[in-house]
Amino acid sequence: MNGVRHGNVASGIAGDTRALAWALVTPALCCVVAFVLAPILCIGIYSFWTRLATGAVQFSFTLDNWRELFGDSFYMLILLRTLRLAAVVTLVCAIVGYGPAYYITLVSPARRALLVILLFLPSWISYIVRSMSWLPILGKEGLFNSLLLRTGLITEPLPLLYNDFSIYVGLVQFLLPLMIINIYIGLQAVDRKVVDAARTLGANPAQAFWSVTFPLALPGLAAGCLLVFILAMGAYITPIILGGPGTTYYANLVFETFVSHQDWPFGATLSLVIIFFLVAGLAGYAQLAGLSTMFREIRR
Amino acid sequence: MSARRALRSLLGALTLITYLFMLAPALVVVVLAFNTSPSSTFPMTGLTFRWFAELAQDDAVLGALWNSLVLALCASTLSTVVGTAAALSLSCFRFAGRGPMQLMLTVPILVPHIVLGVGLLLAFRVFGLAKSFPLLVIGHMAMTLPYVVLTTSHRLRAIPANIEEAARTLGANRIQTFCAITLPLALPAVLASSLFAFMSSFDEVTATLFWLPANMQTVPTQIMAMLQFSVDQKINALAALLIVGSVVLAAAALALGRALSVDEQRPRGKRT
Repeated sequence: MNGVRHGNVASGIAGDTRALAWALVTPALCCVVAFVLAPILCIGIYSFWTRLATGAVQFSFTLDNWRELFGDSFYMLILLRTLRLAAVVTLVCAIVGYGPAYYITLVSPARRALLVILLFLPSWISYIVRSMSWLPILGKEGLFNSLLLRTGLITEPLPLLYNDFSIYVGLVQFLLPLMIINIYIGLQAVDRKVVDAARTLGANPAQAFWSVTFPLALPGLAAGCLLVFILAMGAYITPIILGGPGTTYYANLVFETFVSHQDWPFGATLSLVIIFFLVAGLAGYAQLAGLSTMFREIRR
Repeated sequence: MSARRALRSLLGALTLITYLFMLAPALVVVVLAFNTSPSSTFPMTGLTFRWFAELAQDDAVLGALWNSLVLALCASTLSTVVGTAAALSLSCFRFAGRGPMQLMLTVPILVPHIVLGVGLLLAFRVFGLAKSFPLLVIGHMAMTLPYVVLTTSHRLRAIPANIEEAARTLGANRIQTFCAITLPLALPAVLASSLFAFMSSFDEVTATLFWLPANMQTVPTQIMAMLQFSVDQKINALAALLIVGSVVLAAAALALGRALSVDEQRPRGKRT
């Protein structure tokens, strides 16, 4: 698909068109540098600054923020709990999402188009609305409990809401479409002929899947896992809306540090940890499949 | 063979359940918004429009709605202009450094909003800028820009090069070709991605909480504030309106995407 533009008008690129190309892309480049990359650099710098007892921030190098992060079991506990959340949510999304993604490749083009459109639909609906939609479903007098009570399966409402369970459910629902989209894009990149060749050479369907399709489609699964893990790690709204007492996660800690405690250098240190995981994930993905395969499009 | 068929039916059933899990909760909210009972609980007691009427009288909600509309309109307009220019450059020209540039313009999609929020807030501080509405617009523009670049450049690549070549062969210069061929073909895709940018700006909450000037609310932050007190029916009515609005906009974007009909005539690779 990407070869379509080969031999197009711009192939014999002249000096003036190169200038035009740069002129068109420069504003966007400046925006990303100024409003995304430079701010991330600011986070890095701030994490080595000193916060005075008065609350003011002083420009003097210190490692205290990092010492506080790694030295205090409270922060480590929340970080570990958040990593567990992100890992479990990623695993669940991958396992639950693989089947539907594979199914989309099997059905007729019309049905495939519908299924793909429905995958993108949630990303149009507000995150906060999608999170709060679990409140009337999982609540004490919610849909599940009222159904279960009526059927007599339970006599007391189950504690489904305002705990870790509802946070996990909300996050899986939020991130599953992204996982399925990425797995599906990976599966699409697999050349049918290679699978057919394996079948001709005597592989049964399961063998063909595990030794040909699955490894070839791995970049999609990996991209999905990276995306879901990082977004789950940085999830702020879900624990706020669906969590209860004692369900503080990492992003909530970051927010509290900035907004309630006004401790900017330490907040920056906390945020830098998320960036560290993002960069590590990207580096791992680059090793596996090359970064240029990260944002492939869906073929129709 | 029948085992394969059974497996496929099983996968189909699994897919159906998964899709229900992803989409049905939103439907529950929409249905519940019409319930007569003032607390959002089951079973339903009757149907009413009362909560929508109450919503229309709520000055805080209306003010937040106005703020969100202006914010999303400004941010999506800016990111569409800047992002479309970049997408044109990335998909219509081949030049050294194009690959890394494409990557740099799309990677911010992966950065969690809490990090974007923190980063820009700190950057404002470094330059001594107070939180303000224009800074909020800038933040939302930067956040939606990668989506515009990504989707628009994908769609632009779908325009067959030979159509542009034909125009050039027939004597059109580069600018004429762009205005007569490329732009009309790209316009639906540009509009569709600007709709998405609008919606994601309208819905953004995590980073917005960091950037919001004092005494100002957008619709999502207003919902956050309302949720702190109780989950009442007014919130459900608001959520229902947002869901319906989002689905309508998504459908409009889809229709626009379909309008790029030349895509369908493009020679394809193998079909399965």
